[in-house]
Amino acid sequence: MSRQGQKEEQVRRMLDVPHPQVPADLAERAAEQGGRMLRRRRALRALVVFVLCVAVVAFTVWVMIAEPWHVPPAETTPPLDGV
Amino acid sequence: MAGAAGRLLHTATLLTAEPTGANERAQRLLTAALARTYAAWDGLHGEDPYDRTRQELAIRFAHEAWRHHRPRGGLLDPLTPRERLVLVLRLYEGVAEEQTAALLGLPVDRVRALCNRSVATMRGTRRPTARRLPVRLLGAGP
Repeated sequence: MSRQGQKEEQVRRMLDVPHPQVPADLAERAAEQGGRMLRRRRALRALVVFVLCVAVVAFTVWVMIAEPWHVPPAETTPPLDGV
Repeated sequence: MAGAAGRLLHTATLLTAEPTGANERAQRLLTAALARTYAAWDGLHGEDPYDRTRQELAIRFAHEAWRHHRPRGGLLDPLTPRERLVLVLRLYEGVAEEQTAALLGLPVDRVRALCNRSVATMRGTRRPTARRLPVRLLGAGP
């Protein structure tokens, strides 16, 4: 083992002290928090999908009513010169 | 999973440099990391939940490292938060140098240097890295 390896081994042993006691409710709290995160994420996704759907429907309706592909009739008559 | 939780809590306690008996911050850190793993459970695709939680723990700690500058009586008190993070990931968790570098967004050389520096500090062959101390402490003296 290299010198650096020996030094690292020494520090590793230093870190290897007995583990702390895990509180009994830690996993439960984590699951609760994670579940909340998941629900929030799902709700946000549902909201985004809903808004997109509404936008598509609104656009379709507007297109049906306004028919923007027709050229609007000219509102001004070109001046009649030199007749 | 009970053994894994104990090990992860020990990792978190080393990171926050709290004494083993009073590791409230470490518990908060671990709870948040576990919660994120729980929320991502369906998207793990065969990834090890332990690795994922450790990754979440490291990222979360890196983000809030500025809150962990003050010594709290833990084992790794002489180290800065970043030195602690590298030391714990490399030596205690046995994460490879390249992986640690990728996780922290640092070059591999830098990770190696940080690790060597932390090892030297912990063995007492190097003075701890100077910290940003409160101004009044800097001005104190006879």
